[in-house]
Amino acid sequence: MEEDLISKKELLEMTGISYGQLYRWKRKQLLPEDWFIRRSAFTGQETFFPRQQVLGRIRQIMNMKEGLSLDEMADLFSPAPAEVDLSRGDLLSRNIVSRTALEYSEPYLGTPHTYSFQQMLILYVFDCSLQTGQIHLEEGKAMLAVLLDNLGRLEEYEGELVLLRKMGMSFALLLSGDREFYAEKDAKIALRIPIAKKTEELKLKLSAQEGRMEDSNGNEE
Amino acid sequence: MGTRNDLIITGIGVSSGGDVGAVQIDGVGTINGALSCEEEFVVNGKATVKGGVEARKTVINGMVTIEGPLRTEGCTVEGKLKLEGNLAAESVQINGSVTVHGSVEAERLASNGKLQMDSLNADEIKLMLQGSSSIREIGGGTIEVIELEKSSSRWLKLLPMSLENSLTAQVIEGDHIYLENTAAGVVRGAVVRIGPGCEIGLVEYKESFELSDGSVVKSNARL
Repeated sequence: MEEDLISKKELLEMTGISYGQLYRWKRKQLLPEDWFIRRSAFTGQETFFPRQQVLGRIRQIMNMKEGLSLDEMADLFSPAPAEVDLSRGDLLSRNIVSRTALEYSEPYLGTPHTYSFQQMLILYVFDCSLQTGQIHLEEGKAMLAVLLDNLGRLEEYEGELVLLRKMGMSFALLLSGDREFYAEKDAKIALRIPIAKKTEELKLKLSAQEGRMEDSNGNEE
Repeated sequence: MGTRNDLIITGIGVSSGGDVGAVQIDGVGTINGALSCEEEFVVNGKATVKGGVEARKTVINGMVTIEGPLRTEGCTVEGKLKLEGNLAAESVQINGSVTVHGSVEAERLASNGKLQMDSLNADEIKLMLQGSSSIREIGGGTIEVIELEKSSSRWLKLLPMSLENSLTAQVIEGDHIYLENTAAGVVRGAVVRIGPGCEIGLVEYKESFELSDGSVVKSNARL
């Protein structure tokens, strides 16, 4: 597997962070253990990171570290679910899920009084996949159904949602873990959605808006 | 505290572990399973835990073997601790010998004695060497390794054993590093000071590098 890696030295140079910060973030699990890839080099052992992922994460940490503590950020980045329940009105007014997606989901999810994090995640992924414009509504519904039946089986929402198409037929697949898969050559991968990334995005949306709400409450007082 | 019962062993005792309030072992205790303590885990004497330990605070005076990881806020060891798993703590204070088959993560770690572990990651690390320590990887903010006193017990020198106070490591990385009596492959940092008795393969530094007499650094590079 050819991966684009960045050495620790290069990373510190590019981002301007110190060893102390890097090790602290590792301790707080802001940088997951499996991003630390040890390779032997002529100087002995060197540590490398997946370039895109680590640079993206460090940018996020730098942006957020004014407003959030390291522990709060760790919760945000962890693939474990957040503990929130929101009503249908909240979901719409806070722009987490579009009205269209919510309406289409009703035959599957019903109209619960409040939505759990898992339900929100399903809706959010459904909404995102529709908004890519790369799939039909029916395909989106198939993805929704597969999530609904199987999302609970994933460990900490590490997995990927895939839509495959072959000669006009399509089907949705939920993969657990971070795995590669290979389809026959006539089959086309219409869409791939990493669940962990969506989990993180959804948590960011939820927390950003909580923050804003607290701010506005603060101003009123 | 709460509804959990305390586990108290005075003399010689055996327990099966589980969820408890506080643990106090005075004497010899064997715990046949993992322990989750809401309060302190205190041993005065000798204890073996056949599983991991979680405790708010850990105080060891004597000898303890934990066959699993230890997760705690404050950890004090006076004597000997052996861990068959990772150690995660806020602050760790060691006077004696600690062996960890895994990694150690803490905000602060100060030790006076002998350490054997796979990796050590802490913001403030202060090691006073007594006996031979070995840590494969050390990383953090401030790292200070000193030899407190030259062979405090002179009579021990009569024994035919290696009694050098030394640290062996592969990689040491930190912002501020000061080392004595250390043999390391690579040392990387912003400010690196190599004191007496060191043998280092490569030093990479960002701001400054000092080398005292009686130490060998094969090569160094400013980044």
